[in-house]
Amino acid sequence: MSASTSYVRPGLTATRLGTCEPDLLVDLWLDRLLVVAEPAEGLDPDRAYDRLALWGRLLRCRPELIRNAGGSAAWNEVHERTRGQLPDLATAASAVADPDGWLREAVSLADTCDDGALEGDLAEWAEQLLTDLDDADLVVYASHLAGLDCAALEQGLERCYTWLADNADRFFSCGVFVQALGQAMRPDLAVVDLDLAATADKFIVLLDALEDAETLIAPSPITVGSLPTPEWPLIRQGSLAMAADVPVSAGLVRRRWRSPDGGYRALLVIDPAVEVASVRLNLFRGDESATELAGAAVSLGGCPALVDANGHAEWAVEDLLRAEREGQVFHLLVSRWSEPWTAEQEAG
Amino acid sequence: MHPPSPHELLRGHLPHPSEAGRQAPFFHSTQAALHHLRDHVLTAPECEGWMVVSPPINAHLDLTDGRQRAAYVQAAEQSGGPSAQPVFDLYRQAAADACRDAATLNWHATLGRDTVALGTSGVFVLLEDGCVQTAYLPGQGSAEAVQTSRTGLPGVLPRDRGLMRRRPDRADRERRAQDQREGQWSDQERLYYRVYRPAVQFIRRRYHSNVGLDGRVRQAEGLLKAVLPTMSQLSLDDWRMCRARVSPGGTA
Repeated sequence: MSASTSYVRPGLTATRLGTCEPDLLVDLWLDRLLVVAEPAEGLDPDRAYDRLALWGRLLRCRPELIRNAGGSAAWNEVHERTRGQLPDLATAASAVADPDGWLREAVSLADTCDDGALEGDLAEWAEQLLTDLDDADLVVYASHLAGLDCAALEQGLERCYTWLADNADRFFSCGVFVQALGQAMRPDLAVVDLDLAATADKFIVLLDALEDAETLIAPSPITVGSLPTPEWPLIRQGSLAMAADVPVSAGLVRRRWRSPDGGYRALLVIDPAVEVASVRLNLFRGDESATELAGAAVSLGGCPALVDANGHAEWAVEDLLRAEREGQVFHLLVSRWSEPWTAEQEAG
Repeated sequence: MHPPSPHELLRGHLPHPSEAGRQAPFFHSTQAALHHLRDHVLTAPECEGWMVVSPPINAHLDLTDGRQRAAYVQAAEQSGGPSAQPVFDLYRQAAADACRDAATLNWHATLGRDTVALGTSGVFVLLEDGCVQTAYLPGQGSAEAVQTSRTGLPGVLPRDRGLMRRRPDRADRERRAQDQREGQWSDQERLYYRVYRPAVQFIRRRYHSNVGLDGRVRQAEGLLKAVLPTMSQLSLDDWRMCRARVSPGGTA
């Protein structure tokens, strides 16, 4: 998957590396649709809601993904049956969605991001919220096809879109899911069904924001402010040490930064006496390693890295030397904050 | 390592899923072992899954009774572990079976120091440096319940979830419908529908949460989906064939 479309962004790292799994999503959706579409007594509102949402979601997909999931025949059968029952299903599902509830939960997610929850937990929650919003969109789409008026629900969903567009970064934790979802979409969706394509607009907003964020932390010249760097000539000697492995003692040079909101600290220790190939930055929240930043993109002197599960980020000394030769300013940027971290300085 | 005294919990070992012949310690300490027993086997709602995976546990306590579970945990903590030995042995047995299944079916993955495995009963095992770190039933528990059992306080995650749905009685109605369906299931079907299938779904569903924006898989669990069956290969008959392969005398 390399062709660029509104839904597929080959420049995004996870997409470029091929770690998104649209097949897996389609497999899960189809499996769930077959369960909720099983004949049952009466029309349960939640099952009707789920069925319409999953049906719409699979309509948006590239047909070959449904074939790959081994479900073409089952899909065709459920598709026809669902289309035939649209008015009943849409009526049953009409009272399920609660956009105000979604907004409350979205604010809760944003608060939890600020509380420093684990990236994996946030990813799961953000993915669930996004799916919930998408479900509601797809149910509205199906309701329109069935000729139902859902103006009130649509107004509520408008508020949700506005929140999402204003807070797109809160969904970065599920950015890989968003990329996979985009890859599952048929590229000609807007030609095939403009109304259905409109349900996917929120993913375009998120993909745009993800691209902007990755561009921000990419190794490009950084021009904001300047940090006095009397110690950086040490890099020229190739004499850096990983902070975690070296007891702080006389002769070590420590570099410190504080996050723009003051909640986090970063520490880099340089040992002029030891020659190493890489240098590690330790990130802290209070006295604890900032493991909740795992997966966050970080840039030092324009050199990109990622925070690992232990709250560390590591660079090759060679890369930092090159950055210094190129005249880069050694700002520290972490993807959660748009501003550079404030440098503090201490000689050990 | 000193030999365990009769007053200590015997943690034991289980077969390493990816290294034939290697025995993996079941937790690195008594405290860790008891915590995981409490957080998974003895915490609702996951305990309901353990009743299905290991029915003999019910001979020792009624897992549906929250007070009995709490008393069992309290006694285990006061005794330093030995009072929980019978249930702990069943917990270890289920995890050992999972590791054996995973070795036979190749349902395991390794990332760095971590190895993960899933058995045909839906028991997931995580090992770090060859030592079991946890064993649980994916898709059965709730992070909040585990957090609450540890601290007595609600955790940071999750707060209110699924608020897009305006139906507070949904869980009760689903439970009633579930009970009705389950009444017609055999023990094997119950294991398949209640525990195994949700476990595979859960692992597959969580895949993208386990991948960072740098495209790297954060946890070994994220690699497991590649070796597990897809949902379309997950019928009851498919599962029965897997069970036959791992049963004594099965064709590996």
